[in-house]
Amino acid sequence: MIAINKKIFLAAALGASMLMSACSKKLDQLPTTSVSTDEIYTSINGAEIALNGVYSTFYKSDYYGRNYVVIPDLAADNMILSAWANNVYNEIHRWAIHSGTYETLNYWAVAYPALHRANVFLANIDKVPVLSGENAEAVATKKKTFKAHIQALRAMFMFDLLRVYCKYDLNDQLGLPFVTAPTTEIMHKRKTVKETYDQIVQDLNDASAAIGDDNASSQTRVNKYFIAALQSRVYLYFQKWDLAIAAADKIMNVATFGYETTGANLLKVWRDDASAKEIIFKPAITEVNEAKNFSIGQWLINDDVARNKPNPDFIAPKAFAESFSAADLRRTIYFRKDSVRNYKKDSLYVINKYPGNPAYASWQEKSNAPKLLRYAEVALNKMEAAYYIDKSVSKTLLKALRAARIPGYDGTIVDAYDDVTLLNQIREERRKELAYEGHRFFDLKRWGLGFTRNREGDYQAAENAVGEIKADNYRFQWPIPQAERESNKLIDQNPGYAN
Amino acid sequence: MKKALLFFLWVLVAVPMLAQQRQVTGKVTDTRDGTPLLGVTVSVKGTKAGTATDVDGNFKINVNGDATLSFSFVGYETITMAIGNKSHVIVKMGPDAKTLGQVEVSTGYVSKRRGTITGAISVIDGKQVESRPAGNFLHNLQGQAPGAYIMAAGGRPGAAPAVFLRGIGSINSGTAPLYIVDGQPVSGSDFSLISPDDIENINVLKDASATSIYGSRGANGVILITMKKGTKNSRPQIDYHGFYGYADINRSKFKMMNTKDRLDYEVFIGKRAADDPAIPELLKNDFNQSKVVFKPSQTQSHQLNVKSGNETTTIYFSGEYYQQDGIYFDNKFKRYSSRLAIDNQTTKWLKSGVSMYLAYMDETTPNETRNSLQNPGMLAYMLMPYENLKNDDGSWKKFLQYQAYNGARSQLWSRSQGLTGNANDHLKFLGNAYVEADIRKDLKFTSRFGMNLSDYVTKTWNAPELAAADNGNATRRFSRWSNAIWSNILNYRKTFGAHSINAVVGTEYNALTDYDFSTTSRNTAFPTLYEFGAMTVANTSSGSLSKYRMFSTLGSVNYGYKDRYFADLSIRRDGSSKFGANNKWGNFWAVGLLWNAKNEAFLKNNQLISDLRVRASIGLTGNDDIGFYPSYSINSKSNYESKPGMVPTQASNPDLAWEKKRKFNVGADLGLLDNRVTFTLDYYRELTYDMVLDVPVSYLTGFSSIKANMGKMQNNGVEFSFKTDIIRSNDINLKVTGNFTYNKNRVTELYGFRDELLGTGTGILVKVGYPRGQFKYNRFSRVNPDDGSEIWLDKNGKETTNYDGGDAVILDGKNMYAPYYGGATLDFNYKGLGIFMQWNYMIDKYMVNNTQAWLVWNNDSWFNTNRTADLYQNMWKKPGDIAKYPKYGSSTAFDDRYVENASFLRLRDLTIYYNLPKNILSSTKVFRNARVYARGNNLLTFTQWSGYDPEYFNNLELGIYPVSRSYTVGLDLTF
Repeated sequence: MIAINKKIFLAAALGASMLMSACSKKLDQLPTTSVSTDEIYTSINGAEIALNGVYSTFYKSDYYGRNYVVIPDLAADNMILSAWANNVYNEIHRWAIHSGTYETLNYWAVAYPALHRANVFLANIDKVPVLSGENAEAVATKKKTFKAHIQALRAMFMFDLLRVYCKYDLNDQLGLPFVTAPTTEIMHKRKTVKETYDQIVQDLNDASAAIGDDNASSQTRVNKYFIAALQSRVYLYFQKWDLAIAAADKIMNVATFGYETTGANLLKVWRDDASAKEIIFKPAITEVNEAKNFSIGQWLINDDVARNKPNPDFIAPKAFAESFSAADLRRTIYFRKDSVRNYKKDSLYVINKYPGNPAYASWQEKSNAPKLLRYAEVALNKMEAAYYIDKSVSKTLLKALRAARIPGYDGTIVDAYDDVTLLNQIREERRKELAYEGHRFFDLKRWGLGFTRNREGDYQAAENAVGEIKADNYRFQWPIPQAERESNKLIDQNPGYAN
Repeated sequence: MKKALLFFLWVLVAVPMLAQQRQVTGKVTDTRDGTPLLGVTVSVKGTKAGTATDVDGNFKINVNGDATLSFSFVGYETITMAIGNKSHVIVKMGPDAKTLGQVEVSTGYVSKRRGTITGAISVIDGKQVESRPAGNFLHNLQGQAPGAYIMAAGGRPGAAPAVFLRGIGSINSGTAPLYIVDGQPVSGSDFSLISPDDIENINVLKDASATSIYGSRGANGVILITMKKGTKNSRPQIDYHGFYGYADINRSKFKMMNTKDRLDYEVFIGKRAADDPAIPELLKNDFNQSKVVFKPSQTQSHQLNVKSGNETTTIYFSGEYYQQDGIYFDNKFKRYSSRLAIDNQTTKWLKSGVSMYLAYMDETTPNETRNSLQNPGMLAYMLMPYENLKNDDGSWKKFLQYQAYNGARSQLWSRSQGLTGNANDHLKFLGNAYVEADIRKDLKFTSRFGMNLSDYVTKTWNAPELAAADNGNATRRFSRWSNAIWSNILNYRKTFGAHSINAVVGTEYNALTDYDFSTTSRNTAFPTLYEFGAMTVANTSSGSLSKYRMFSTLGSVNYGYKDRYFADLSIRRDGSSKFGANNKWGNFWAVGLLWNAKNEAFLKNNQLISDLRVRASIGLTGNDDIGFYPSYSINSKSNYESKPGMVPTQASNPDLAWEKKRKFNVGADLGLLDNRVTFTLDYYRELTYDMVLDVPVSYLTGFSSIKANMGKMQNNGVEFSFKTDIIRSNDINLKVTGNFTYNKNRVTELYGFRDELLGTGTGILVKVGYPRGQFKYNRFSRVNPDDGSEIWLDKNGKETTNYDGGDAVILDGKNMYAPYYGGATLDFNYKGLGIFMQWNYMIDKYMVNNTQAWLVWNNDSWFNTNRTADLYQNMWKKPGDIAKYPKYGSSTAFDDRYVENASFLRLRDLTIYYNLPKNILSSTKVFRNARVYARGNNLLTFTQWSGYDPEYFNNLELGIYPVSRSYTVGLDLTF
């Protein structure tokens, strides 16, 4: 056997052990699929990546991807839960929401991190350096417009939270808890509704002043029209009629916006997500992963290729669907009368506002971008605000809307309305035009109206005939989720809830 | 020619010696049962001559005149015998009580004599786990070691059970012990690729003295597995272990409606007209669908191993084939494994060796999604009794008429047709190479490099028939997991006079890399092709790369005085990439003391007491099982409009450090009557503190929680075990062993500002003052006799019809972890025919019977699925009914009705075996040992649990893949 020299062996082994001690540098391991916040804001390109991150909030199914679009109608009188539906949204639909209900937590858990992202962006954007080879002026302009985007989005997210959790009363103490810079504080008190409202208005005004014509023709990014449309909505909620009208006019005075007046074009708005005239803002769908975030039609229609007949979880109340006159273009576009897989007795009104964009069909069935800001809503905002200022303006706008939706509509009907009828008709028209776009619950709450849901047939889940919900029902303000309250001891619950 | 030459040589060399030398023959047997002992070293005193006994215990040796022979054998008392002028001797050897204390026990970096160890270590013989029909041998440790809590997490073959030692040791971080196979860290799921028949023994290390040498990974205890090796100077030995059998669904108390009940129910709730003309036709069928859906499945295993060795080299190699089908019809598990271990005395002072384990596992996995009706475990009960699921030819029907739950029904057909499915294959290499140098007589240097490498491929596919929009799709995920470890250890071992020292210093470097990617593709060229080559559109891809590096220095010393008093001191310093920039390094230590009273003069010659030791230890260990990058600020991909986007997904905490665990243990070991009866008793107190918790924060921070070191949790308990050879004779043997553990867990501190762990919806509460796993639910009161609605109790105990999550209360004493558990074995044999039983039990274990909830809910959402038989009888039907279940149409809720006692006592193993008599075997000249047996697993279970299987590691039982009952027959042969 070959003799191994013991000394050489030991020296080698010792050397190797020593070498190993030098490995302690290896203890600094960085993640390979993520980066730190500091690293992001080291260039304007990095900031743009963070900006896109804030925009990606629109893809959350607990927010605009589904819940925020469906729930306001499902919680009110525009939708009924089918007998065969899964248990989802059960507590919402039955008006049994409590602080442990998933939807209140899930929404909260999306909206507040979204606000945090906006806050992080605003806290860091000014630090972004101009790198060599970059034009300082161009970078400064980008910073300014990016900031406007983020402020507008922050206003939108905050207003959406306010709509759910607060009363629309500037004297009410229970506004949102919020911060305008990143925080690591564990507990936060609610601010007043006034403070919340002021912050929203402030952000929108700042954004409006800074946005200029950036992205003016884009329907998928913040631009001046996005801001104006949102302003008209915010002011309407707080009965600032003049301001609501002024904001609405920033859109209504632009010739390129208006109504689609033919059935074919109106269908394109809803089926193809396409209309330069009607759509102000919709979340972008440009690839398969984005299309997958929007499957509202899967819930409302659910007719996969293999089994042609729909099987919706939620359907339209018969009376509501039939309140659209036969001549109304919307009737056949918003509804599809069909027998469904689980109910073959007779045809039902399947909600067809999200029939699936054929352009995305290979990515995701029944995928449509929700139209979050629309010309028609702006017009309805102005119509309603004008009622309190100048009723003739309201009538003109109501006639215009109906003329666009109901070919051959006789405008003199509107002229004959007395004041009470006019208000009711404005509200009824708003319900119809904006059905299934996430407005109904908030509008009822805003108007101080309750509603009655009737039992209409076997296809309706037995447990869902709730009867009358009065205007003063405490559940018009959703409960602050238990999960927030368990760590944040300073936050007050909305009245009425057990905890 | 050759013979002539040899004879000539013999004459030259041997003849002169014949005058003095003569041959002595003899036979060595065991005093206990007279069986021949193989491999006993026989030597002639005062000379270098020696030999070993053969398979029949016979030996031949040449001696000069009146010699003295010495017989020695591991574990037996050495016998010295003056043979006079005898030429044939019969020698009987008995086990040596003294040497039991001398047996070397591996404690990880060093082995120590059993009688010097200050720590709490349980040793399980590999025989206790071999040849069992479980794809992952950890299942077979159930009830075998005190302190070890082992519970199936589903009955899929190969699935790893949940394992923890001495109570659940953490709230948020890993709770599994550290598994070390021959110096190499592995994970619990790796054991689905390791043949249990290759395991020599399993040491369970529990207290500080035993585990703090593992530093930041030792907090949850350590399970050391020593694999089999060859033996020096032995005749080659070949072992075959094989078994064959089948498994079936274990038990389920759910009784579903039969056709008649079901139709009555449908008529009553108004879903079917009483005079429906379909009724007579439906009544013709009455299926117990669980019998249709679950199928008995077969199991087989074959393992061959060879052990051999000469003066310088020992070798062990083995090959195994293991196959087990699941009781879900599309579940199959196969394993092929092979091991090779070579140890070589390379030079006088240098030993070296390699051991390599290569295994391949291939499985098709069923849909076992818990929260789904598509899972056969759920589906089996939900299908209508009047529905014939199968065609006349026995295949599953494509469309079912009466089962309406979306998609669920198609699973039977589509999976059986292979139109959709999941499959995994897993290639595992586990190996190490070492050199061991004797620097001086007392000083040994060992350098060992080990590698644990896994390639894991997961596949799913859907045929165009199911995925029409995609025209067929497939997903593949590949992951490669490698864990390399290099340790350099210096061991000094010396006895001077009354003092003995066994000391170790060393370094260790651990590099773990986890790498994966997955991709999907669609649009297949032909409907039966699911490989990517046949797909025309690549869809999505994703992947990640994670690294963990640890560098450690360690040292320990075991000091003994007069073989009576021992002290162990160990220290380890670990640096890890997992922790915050401000806390990269941590120190761990332990002190242990032992009084070996048997070696005291007053006990030395005591006939009754053969072993008495008293131990105590205290120390600090850590838990680093908290993910790869817990301390960093993290922004992750979240694109918008196809443009790159990132969002913050984790808040940074540069101070984040190890979770710490302080352990205290006192214990005693007592052996009586040559250790025929042994007892071990331990009392321990373990305190986990600075736990890595997701500290709940307001969502205004952007997160629901931030990781930080906070909180305290205790596990205090008692462990007791005994082993007895009650009867030990030639014909009759009876051995009984048993163990018992009581563990009291209590969370004593959480965040300071909040005494409850965040978490809604699941009903599990972690709260200061309560044990981990405490149930909290709304209390159900009764069904309102007036209108059939449900009434709950609010948090003040008043009845309410309003279900509000805020009214949930803590259900005292109801906990998902059993505080009392243990097991017992009995082994009785008469003339080679024997019976072996292994029981285990868990007491005061609770679980939510969520399956039950899904089977009794009584409304439109659940109408389309079958309901339990007693629902119709016991539901509210008319005013005045005192009913168990509410009226039809109740929306119902999840509450304490479904929290049930899941304590159980289970006959884990019943084996009837026959060891063929040695004399018959010797006459065959082929076999050294032969054993045939019939084994049943999980034959009996005693429990109050009303649902599927009480043995399931979760707070909720919801259509689980149940642990099966199996019947096997097996054969062990030694050549």
